[in-house]
Amino acid sequence: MTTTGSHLRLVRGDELPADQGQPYVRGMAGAGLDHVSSAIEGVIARFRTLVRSVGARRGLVEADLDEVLQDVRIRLWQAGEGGKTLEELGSSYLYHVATSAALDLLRRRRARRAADSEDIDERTELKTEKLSPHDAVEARELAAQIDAAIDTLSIDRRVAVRFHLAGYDREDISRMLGWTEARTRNLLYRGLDDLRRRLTDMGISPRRTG
Amino acid sequence: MSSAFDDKELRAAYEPALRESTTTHGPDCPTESELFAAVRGEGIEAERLRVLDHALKCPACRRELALLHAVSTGETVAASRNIRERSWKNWVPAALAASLVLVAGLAGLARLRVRTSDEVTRAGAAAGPALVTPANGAAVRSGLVSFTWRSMPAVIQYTLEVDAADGTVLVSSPTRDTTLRAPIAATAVGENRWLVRAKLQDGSEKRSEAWVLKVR
Repeated sequence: MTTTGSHLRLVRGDELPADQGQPYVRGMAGAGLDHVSSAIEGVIARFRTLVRSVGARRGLVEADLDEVLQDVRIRLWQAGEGGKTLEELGSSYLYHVATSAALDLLRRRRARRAADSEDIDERTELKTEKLSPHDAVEARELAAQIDAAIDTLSIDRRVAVRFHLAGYDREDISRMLGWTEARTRNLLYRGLDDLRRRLTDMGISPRRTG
Repeated sequence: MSSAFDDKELRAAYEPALRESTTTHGPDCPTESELFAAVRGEGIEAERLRVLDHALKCPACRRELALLHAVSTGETVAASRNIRERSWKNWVPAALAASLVLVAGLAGLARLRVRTSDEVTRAGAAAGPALVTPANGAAVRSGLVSFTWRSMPAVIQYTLEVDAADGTVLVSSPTRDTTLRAPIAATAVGENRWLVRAKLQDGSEKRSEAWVLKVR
């Protein structure tokens, strides 16, 4: 039996995994299995690194990514066993499979009206220092006031500002909204200027120490 | 010290709003397909704005947006390359090739992202060139308009920008001087803004305030 990665176990055709509770995929028998599984795991690991780097600071939940990669792993196996060569698949195949797996995941969740709440600690790079209950309430109130101020901006500036505050960069905004880099920059600057002015008008200022 | 939020303070103050953690969708939430189309930049702009405006505010949709964005963003990088490998038996070298493509893409993306986000951060936090004329809110006629600002040390180039309310760039002119006469088209009638970006010797950029420029 060959163990690969921490989430999925690949087994030869005539074996079962030692831990029956562990998800597994039955693969080819023989020495080729080791090469195939390590190769797939190598691709998955690097893809994971790339996706995490993109998703970091943008609210990507680790558990979501793990679930998608589990599906990707299985689809890569199935493609290989179906006789597809890598030349046929191409590197963009990985992204195609990943986006397809992500959409399937969202559809499944929505279909069953998933009520599983997100574990805050799962979020990448959205950790903050521990606050006292009083400070935490104040911080949430301030965030709500900023949110209310953002709501008063025109929609193009509002979206640009929300993207920026959610950790997306100008390249992301340009691509999704079909704006030029200059237009994106202008709308973001204008939006941020408008927001600061609104907050000042509302009497809201940053808490500074020292 | 200014009482306005700088970029870092604004992000920190808004962060609790990003930590809301429901996964329950409401009747106004876009479908996952609509969300994915917006992430890919498909459809008309008004629809994308509507979908993304909601998705960025709604905790359940924001989480989905982050996932769809993260898994699909590298596709452009990967699609431009082909893995040169012959058969299923050769997954190992093929995987190495794919890994190199991914790592190269990762490195490129990381460099790009650091640069662009830093520019915004610096722009929000640091003082750039001080504008002089036309005064903030001044009204001018279309045609050649003179813009003046104060010099800064270690600047290798200034760029004057005039942009319309919808963000469209009307003028973008580089210069080493601190004054520039720029043509303002008659179509720019209304309230615009002008600002100056200064490119410094260390490669960083500083931005002036943006002043209102009314064109009659």
